[in-house]
Amino acid sequence: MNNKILLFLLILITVFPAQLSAQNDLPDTKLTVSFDGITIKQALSILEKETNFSFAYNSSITALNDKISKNYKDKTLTYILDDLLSDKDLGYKMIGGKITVYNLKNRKNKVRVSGYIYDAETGDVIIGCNVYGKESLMGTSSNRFGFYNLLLANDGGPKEIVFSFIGYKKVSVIVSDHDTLINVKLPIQVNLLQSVEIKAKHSENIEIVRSSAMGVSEMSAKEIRDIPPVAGEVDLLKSITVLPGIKPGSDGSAGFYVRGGSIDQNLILLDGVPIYNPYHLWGFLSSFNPDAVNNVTITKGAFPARYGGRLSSVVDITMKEGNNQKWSGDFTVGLLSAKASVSGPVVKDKASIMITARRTYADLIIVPIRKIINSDEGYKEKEGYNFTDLNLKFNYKLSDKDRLYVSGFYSRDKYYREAKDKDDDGTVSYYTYTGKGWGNAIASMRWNHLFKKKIFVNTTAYFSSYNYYNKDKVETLEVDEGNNSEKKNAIEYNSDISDFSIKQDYQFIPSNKHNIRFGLGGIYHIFKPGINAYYAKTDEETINNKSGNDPINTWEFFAYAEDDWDIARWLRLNAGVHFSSFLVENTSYYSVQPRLSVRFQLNNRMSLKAGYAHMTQYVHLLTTSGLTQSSDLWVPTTAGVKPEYSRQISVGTAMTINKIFLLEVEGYYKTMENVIEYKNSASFLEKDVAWEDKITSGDGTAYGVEFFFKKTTGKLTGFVGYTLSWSERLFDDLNFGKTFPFRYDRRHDVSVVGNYRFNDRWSMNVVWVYYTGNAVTVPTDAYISPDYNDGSGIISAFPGPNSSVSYYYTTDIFTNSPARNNYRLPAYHRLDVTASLTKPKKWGEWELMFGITNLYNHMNASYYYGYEDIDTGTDQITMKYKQVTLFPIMPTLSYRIKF
Amino acid sequence: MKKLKYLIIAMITGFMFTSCEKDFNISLPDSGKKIVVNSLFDNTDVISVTVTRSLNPDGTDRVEELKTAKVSLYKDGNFVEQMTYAQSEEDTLLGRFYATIVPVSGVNYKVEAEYTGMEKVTTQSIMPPLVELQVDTLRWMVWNEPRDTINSVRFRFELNFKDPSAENNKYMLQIAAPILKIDTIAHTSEFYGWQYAQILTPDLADAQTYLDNAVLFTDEQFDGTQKTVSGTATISSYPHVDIRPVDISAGFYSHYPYVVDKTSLHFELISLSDDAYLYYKSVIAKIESESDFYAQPAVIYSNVKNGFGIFGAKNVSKINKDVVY
Repeated sequence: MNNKILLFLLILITVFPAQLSAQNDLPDTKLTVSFDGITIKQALSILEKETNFSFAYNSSITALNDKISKNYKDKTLTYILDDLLSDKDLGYKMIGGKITVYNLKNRKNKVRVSGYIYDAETGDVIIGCNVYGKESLMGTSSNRFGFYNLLLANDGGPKEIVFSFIGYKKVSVIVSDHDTLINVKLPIQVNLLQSVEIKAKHSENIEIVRSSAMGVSEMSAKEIRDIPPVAGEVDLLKSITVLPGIKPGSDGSAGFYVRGGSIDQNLILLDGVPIYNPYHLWGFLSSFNPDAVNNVTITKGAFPARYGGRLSSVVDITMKEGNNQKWSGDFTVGLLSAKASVSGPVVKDKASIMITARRTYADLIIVPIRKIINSDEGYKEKEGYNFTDLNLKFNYKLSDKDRLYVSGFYSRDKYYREAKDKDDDGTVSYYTYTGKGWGNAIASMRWNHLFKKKIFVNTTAYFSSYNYYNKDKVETLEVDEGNNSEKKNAIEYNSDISDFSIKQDYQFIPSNKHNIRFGLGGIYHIFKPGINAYYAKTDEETINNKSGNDPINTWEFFAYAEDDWDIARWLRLNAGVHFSSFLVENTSYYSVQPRLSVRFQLNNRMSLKAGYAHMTQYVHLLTTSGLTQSSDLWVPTTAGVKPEYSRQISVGTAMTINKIFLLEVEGYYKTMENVIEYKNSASFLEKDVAWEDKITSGDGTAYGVEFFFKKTTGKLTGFVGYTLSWSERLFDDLNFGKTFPFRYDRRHDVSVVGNYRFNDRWSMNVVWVYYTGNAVTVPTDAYISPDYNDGSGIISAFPGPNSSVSYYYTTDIFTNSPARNNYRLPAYHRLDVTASLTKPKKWGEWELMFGITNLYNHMNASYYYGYEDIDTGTDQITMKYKQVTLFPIMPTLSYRIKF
Repeated sequence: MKKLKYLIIAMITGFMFTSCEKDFNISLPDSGKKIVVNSLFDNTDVISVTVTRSLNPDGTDRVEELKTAKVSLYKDGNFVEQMTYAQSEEDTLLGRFYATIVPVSGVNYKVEAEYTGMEKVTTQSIMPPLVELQVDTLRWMVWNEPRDTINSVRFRFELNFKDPSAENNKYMLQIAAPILKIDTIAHTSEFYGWQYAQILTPDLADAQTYLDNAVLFTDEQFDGTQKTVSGTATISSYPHVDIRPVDISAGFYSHYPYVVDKTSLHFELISLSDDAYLYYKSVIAKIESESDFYAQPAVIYSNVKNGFGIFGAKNVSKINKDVVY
């Protein structure tokens, strides 16, 4: 037979039940046959007739033409074949219902099978799909690009490769004894049998136990949607804060805190591109449209060498690819915003595009109404707020070895207020405008290439920027006896950070015991940490000047190498090193960061793990006293501001229980150096003071233990997370050089997440969170100062003989805090419940999600402030403090259609 | 389905009436009353302290002196004497507990204060070395305004001193003009007090202004060397205080009962103990933070163990210099 046809017959894509025939699963039936002077090929034909089995073989095997004379009486087929073939260096294997005969001579020791794995319906890559040899059980999983690379021992014959992932039907592929590039599509599994689901989820849990990774959590798009939304908005970054070790900021503030680190110590990657401030609505929501997200991986410790640039966490978000089979989309409207996504093939099986968009709609309704209410004859006013985000992703399959991706991301928040007053003759006599805005813009291009079927390369070039602006403008026109007097005043404040970068990442699997990654790259940062532009025009003069901090341009380079090494069945480690350098203002910094994580497999269900990571960070975010604002500044390491460093040790265990539970316990100890804070009394409003002069640096320590107990199958699924932790800071210039608790030093942090699936249509999600209140600085005492006068309330116009009181400032009585962050706000806890109703239709399905945020209306403090309370009867002034709660009980509602 | 529709309408309606912000009073912890000891003592007088009770932070109570407190003074760990409360209105130290010794350089002074029902407090401070001050130049600056303006006057000065070689010396510089109280009938005047100047010293890199009447700085830039400081000092007028030149003997009367004597200026270079320096710095930070909602909160420095207040040592070098017009 023609080799190509035979090869085609050997490479089959079929769907088999799990109990598909194993190798040499031949019957024990006894046979009596005689072969007298015939070729082995002819002998096989006789056996086909005797047994109803079919034989397959490559016609180029010359040994099959050898003549034999043998007699067999009452012998099994296995015995006969072994006797016929073994001394001819021929082997045989039952695959796909046929007995395949193959040559054992001149074969390679290893065979490599690689390619991409896709969702058969949408064309999206499947990340983390298990791929293993049916006989050898050697396995791997697909990477974040859906690429897999499996090396198998070669016994000379065809091999069966199995692809499995939860929610999809298992697929088996038969490959020959040559290196093969094969792409696989997995169909979705409808009506998954519970037994199959249990097995699949158990396999996932086993993989977590076997992995050397520590402090890693993964959430799929479905799991993100299972966390009850706030005001109808499913949110990716809010969802991950229910995981142990990840603490949300105060209600209404952006960012999250991981293992005692601050918010700028989290690297948020969108398809490998860092984003600086991915929040809308002053931190209420993130800028990521969950409908565009495929998967998110959060790493909190034992960082692999491929990650660098931040101290505390890496949130690696992978966007969907786009449906390259057919056009699809969905549209959702909630209480805050509406969003839509569309994806489809540009060229079927070759190129696809995905576009998602989201915008608030309240301003479209409220602004015209307010304009009518606030406007008068001649006077018009409008005020509004909105946010928008857009995602665009285009991917093109250039060849079996090359894929090209082009992505764009844009998010923008805008607040504005405009007022205009016109005279009777229509002349604008007064105009004022106030505007604030912030947002991100990203453009990236990626090229995946496969070298010689064994080295996967991803090359990325990107641009990423974050910008904040604040504008105030006033214009007046006075007409006096025919003379016009015009005055204009405008102040604009801008801060900006932009990155231009190119990098390459390589993945190479030389054997089944090693998974090697290495790469390098460079980033050109442009920082503009606060620039004021002032313009004033009168009849006499025009002023136009700029002040503030000078832009700073910096270069950052990095390189890394790591190996995920399966030393023995009971021992696996991931060892690597990340090297980075930073060049700024004629100063350069270098850092060599070793990384290590080790897994000791105690038995099939349990492992012990340990990890160490040294991290370095060259960019910093200046935030004001815990009130994280969009106007917070991103600033670089400079000659005067050193890089931040951290060292983290973690130890833990992972185990599966009864196939449906997963338990992970992990303890960590982390030290941080050169973390920055604003100095006492420093304020971001001080625009004439350089930012470097407002900050001071010090050290931090964080330690704790995290528990994660998860039920993965059944009608009721979910998890319980608990973190016991401490986090403190030590600065020479703060708190008089004494240790003080970090603002987000939350001793206890509990999350309970439950999902109950009533049937195919109804499901319910519940989240209860509890954590210790933030540490804040509150005056708890008062006492007189050395400059106290007689308390009569009259400040002397000039000092007496023994006093030195200045007229303009009184320091008679201090209200004082004994230390920084001396007071604990009350504990935060909240219960959110949502129910979801899904109805399939011919064109797709619709989903209604409704529920309540903060079901029992607990008043959680977002921030506090002090004020003077004056008794109108006695004029007694009393100092009081109030807390502001932003999220009392609130409804959640959204309606979604999907086609 | 109908029930679901009503439920959704009820939820949306409820949302319209739900506030996004709630105010609730938070109750501050009651840490109990503590003894407050205050003293910024110096080499010009005996050591004296005030001893009072701490106050409610909400301002609902008044200052109370602990007149019967037992206050003990120690010198380098050795008991010196029990300090006496000055009760006489003629006593210049009225309201203070005083000792009989004047502090000297290099000595560690410690005070213990006890009062019935309250926790005993201790505090201590080391007297820094005296740094002799020399004023080289003092010159009145001519302004656009006529000399007899009552608003303010400005002087240019240059002074120098030798910084001790011990590390981390801290200083406060004050410049003042004497205030005279005028007897308009007898045509006499007597010293009343000091009018402190606002000082600008551009050649002190880490200088901070304290309450507009002093400058704080350290020897970080000139440790162990001879240092020359030049700058300007501005004396501003206050209501009822005249800064016009007054020749009392010639019978020229001021409209006001108090005048600033511009014929000489008084310079003080004060060596500060670490405690005194930290205290002054924290006061500066606190005042700045209270005027800005977004500013970082500042904590007033206190070195009184189990209590509050400041016990800080200062060593003052003074010099009077006549003004050249």
